[in-house]
Amino acid sequence: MTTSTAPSGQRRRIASPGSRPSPLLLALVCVIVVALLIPVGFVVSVVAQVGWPTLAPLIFRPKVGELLVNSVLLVAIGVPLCVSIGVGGAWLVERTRLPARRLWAVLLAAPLAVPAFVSSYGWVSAVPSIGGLGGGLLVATLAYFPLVYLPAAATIRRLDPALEETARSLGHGTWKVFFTVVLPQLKLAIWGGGLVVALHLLSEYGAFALIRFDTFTTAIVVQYQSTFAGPAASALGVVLAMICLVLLVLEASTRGHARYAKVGSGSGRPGVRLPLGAFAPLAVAALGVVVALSLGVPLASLTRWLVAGGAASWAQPELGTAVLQTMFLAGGGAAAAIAVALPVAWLAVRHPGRMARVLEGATYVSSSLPAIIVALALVTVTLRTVPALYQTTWTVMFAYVVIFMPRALVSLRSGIAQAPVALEEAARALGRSPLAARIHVTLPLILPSIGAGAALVGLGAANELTATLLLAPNGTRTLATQFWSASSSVAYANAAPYAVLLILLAAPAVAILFTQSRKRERG
Amino acid sequence: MTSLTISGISKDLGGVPVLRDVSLSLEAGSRLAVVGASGSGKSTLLRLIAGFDRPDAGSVRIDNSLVSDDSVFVPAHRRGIGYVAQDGALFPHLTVAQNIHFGLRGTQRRRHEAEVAAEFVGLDKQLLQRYPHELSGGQQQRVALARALAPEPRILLLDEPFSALDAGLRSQTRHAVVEALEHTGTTTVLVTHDRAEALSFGQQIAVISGGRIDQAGSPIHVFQNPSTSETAVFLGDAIFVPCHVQGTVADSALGRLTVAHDHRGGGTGARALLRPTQLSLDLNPVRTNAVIVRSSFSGSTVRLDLRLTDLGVAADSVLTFDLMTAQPDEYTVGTAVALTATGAVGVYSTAG
Repeated sequence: MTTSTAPSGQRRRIASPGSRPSPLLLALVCVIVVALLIPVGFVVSVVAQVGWPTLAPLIFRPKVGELLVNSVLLVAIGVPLCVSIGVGGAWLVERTRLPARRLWAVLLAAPLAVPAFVSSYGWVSAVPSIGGLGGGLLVATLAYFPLVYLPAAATIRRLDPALEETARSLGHGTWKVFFTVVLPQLKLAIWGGGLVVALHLLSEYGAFALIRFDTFTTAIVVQYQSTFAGPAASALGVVLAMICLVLLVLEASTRGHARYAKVGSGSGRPGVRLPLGAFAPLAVAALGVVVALSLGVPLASLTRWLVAGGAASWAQPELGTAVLQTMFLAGGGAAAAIAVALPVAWLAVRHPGRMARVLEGATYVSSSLPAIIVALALVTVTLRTVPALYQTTWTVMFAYVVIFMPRALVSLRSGIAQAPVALEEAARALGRSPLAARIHVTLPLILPSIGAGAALVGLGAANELTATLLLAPNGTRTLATQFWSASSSVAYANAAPYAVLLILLAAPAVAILFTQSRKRERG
Repeated sequence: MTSLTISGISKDLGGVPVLRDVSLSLEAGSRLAVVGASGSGKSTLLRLIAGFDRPDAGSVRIDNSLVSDDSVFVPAHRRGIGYVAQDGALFPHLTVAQNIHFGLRGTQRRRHEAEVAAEFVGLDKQLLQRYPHELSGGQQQRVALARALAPEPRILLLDEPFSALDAGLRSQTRHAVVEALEHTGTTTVLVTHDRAEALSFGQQIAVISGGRIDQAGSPIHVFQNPSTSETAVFLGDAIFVPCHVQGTVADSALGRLTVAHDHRGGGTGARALLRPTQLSLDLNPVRTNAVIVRSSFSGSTVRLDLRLTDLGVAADSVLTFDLMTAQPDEYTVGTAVALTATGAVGVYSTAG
C-alpha cells in the first residue's frame, strides 16, 4: 500500500495538456501584441528615420548629460531607499511584536493612494524652497516605497518559519538570521518591487515638475511644449527608453530563477514574532517619521488649502465636468484594457509554452516605457497614419491600455489560474458544451479578478497626467489635468478639491492591492 | 446498461507516445479497474474515453455506437458519460445541491433528484446547502460522485478519485462508492495506482505500463497468474525461488512444486513465484532447509530474511517475507527452520 502523501497527480491542473491554442486566439493575441508594441516601434523608427547624424548632436550635449546624471542618481539612490524602507517596514509589521501592527500595515500601504504629484504639491506648498535632487528623492521615495513594501510583506508572510527557527537553533542571532535567511528569500520581491519603483521614478512628471527637478520626462514635456514632437523631444525619448530597457534587462538577468518561498499547500503556520523589547520605541518612532512625512505632510498641506479656499474652491464650475470626464475616460480605458488583457492572459495560463511567454513578455516591454514615450509615439503615429485619431478619446484610451496593461494582466492571470481546466471538463462531462461550460463555470470564477483588474486600471488612468495632457482632445478636463493646471500656476487652494477627489478615487485601488497581497497564497 | 469497447487506441502527447495500441472491452454493468504506475498512460486513456481528447488512432464504442475513430468524434458533452476527477473538481461558486443539479435538465424534479443522489452516496442532507470548501475531502468526493451519477450516465469514469484522501477515509469512501455502483449497475472504469484498490474494485482489472495493456482479466486470475514478473511484483508481495522445471513440476530448495503456468517464454533460467500466503514455516522440523538471518518485528507480522541451506539448487539465495504470527519472539536470528510451500506456482525466466 502506498502512503497518503500527495501523489504527483494531485496538483490542480490549470493548463490544457497537449491541446494547442486555437488559431483564432493565437492570431488575436498576435494582433494585440503588435498594436501594443507601437511605442517600441516608434523608438526604433526614430533612430532609423531621423538618423544618427541628426540625433547625435541632440543627444551628446551638456543638457542631456545633466539629465542623465539626475535620472541615474535618482534611480541609484531612490531605489535602495525605497527597498530599505519597504523591506524594513514589512519585517517590523510581519515578524515582530510591534505595537498596533495592523494599523501600521495599512499606514505603510496608504501613501499609494496619494498620487505623487499631490504629495509633491503638499511638500512644495509647505516648504517652498524644496527642489533639486534632494527634493526629488525625498518626494519620490516617500511616494513609492509602498511598491516594495507590499510584495515584501506578502513574501515574508509566506516564508516557512521553520527556516528561521532552524537558523536560530544553529546559533545565529536575530540580525544574522534576518540577513542570511530572511533577506535572500525576499530577492524576487525586492527585485520586482525595485524595478517597478525605478520605472515609476523615470516616468514621473508632475511630482518633479512642481519642485523644478529636471529629469528626462520633465525635459521631454518642456521640449514638446516648445517644439512639438520634433527631433529634440524624440532624441530625449530615445535615451529615456534605452535606460528603461537596460533596467528591464538588468533585472531579468540578475533576478535568477530560484523560488525561495515555500509553495504548494502554503506555509502551514504563521511565523513567530520577535519581541522588540527596548527597541520598540525606536521602531515605532522610525515608522512614525516615515508615515508623518509620506502621509502627514501632504494631508496637512491639503487640509490647510481646503480651509483657506473654503466653499469657493468647491464652487469651481469645472469640478463637475472633471469628475464626469475622468469617469468616462478611466472607465473606457479599464474596459478596453480588460478586453485586451483577457486573450493574452488566457493564452498564458491555459497554453503555457515558449510562444505564450514571448507574446506575454512583449506586452510588458511596452508597458515599461514611460507614459511620455507612449504619448509621443501615439502623437507621431496618429498624425502620420490616421490623423482623424489624433487627440481623440480613442487614442487616450489606447494609451491607457498600453500603460496599465500589466495591472489587468496580473489580475486576470491569477483569476484564470484559479479556474482549473478540470472544472470545465467536469461541466462538459455533465452535458454542457465547451462554450456553455466556460460561461457557467469559468466566467463566474474569474469575475472578481476582472473587477479587480478593471478597478486597478481605471484608478490608474484617473491619476494619469502625462499621456492625458498630450493626447486628450482640446477642452478635456480630468481631475488630474485640472489639478495640474491649478497647482502649476500656484493656485494651490483651487487645486485642493481636485486633490481630495483624486485621493478618494485612488483609495479603493490601494485597498484592492492591499487585500490581494494579503490573500495571494501562491507566488 | 451499457458496454464499452476500445480498440487499437494510440495517442502521442507533445511527440511522446503515451498510449500504444490499447484495446479493452467491458460488459454492460461491470466495473473495470485500470492500474498502473504514474506516467503509464492510464489517465490519458480515461480522457480519451471521456472525449476530452481525441486519439491519434483507434476507436471507442459506447454500446456499439461509434463515438471516436479517424472520422467520427463525439465531444464529451454528447457522450452521456459521468466523470469524477482526482480532486473532485467541484464548482467552488456553487452549493452542493447546485453542483449535483448541474448535469440535470428541467427544474421540477431537480430538488428531489439531488436529495436522492445525495442519499445514494451516503451524504448527509444537511450538507446540501453548503459550499464545497466547507466539506471534508471525503465528503467532496461523495458530492462529485453524486453529481456524476445524477444524470444517470451510460458510463462512469473515475480518475483516481480516492488518492487525495488519507488511508482510513480512502477505503471507507471506496466501499461507499462500490456499494452505490452495485445498486445502479453503472458500467464503470476506474484508473488508479493503488493495487489493493484495483484488485478490490470490480469484475475486471487491466494492468497498464509504458502505454500498453500488459494483462487484463478477472482480479483473481491476474493476481494468481501474472503474465510477467513485473506485473507479479506490481500487484502484491512476491517471493521468487530459483528452480529447475521439468514438465509440470519444478524442483527448488522448497522441494518439488507444481507448475500451473509457465511464463518463461524464450528467457533463460527459471524461478517460481510464491505469494507469502503460500508459505509456511516450521520451527521444529525433522529436516531444515533454511536459517533466519534477520528478523524485524512490525506488529502483527514479522519480516524475516531466510537463507536457503539446501545447496542442491541455489546457494546463497535469501528470501524476504512477512509472516503473520502470534509468537514473534520465537523467530530469532540463527534459528534453523523448514520452509514449505503449498499450491501451484507460475514460473518466470530469471533474465529480465
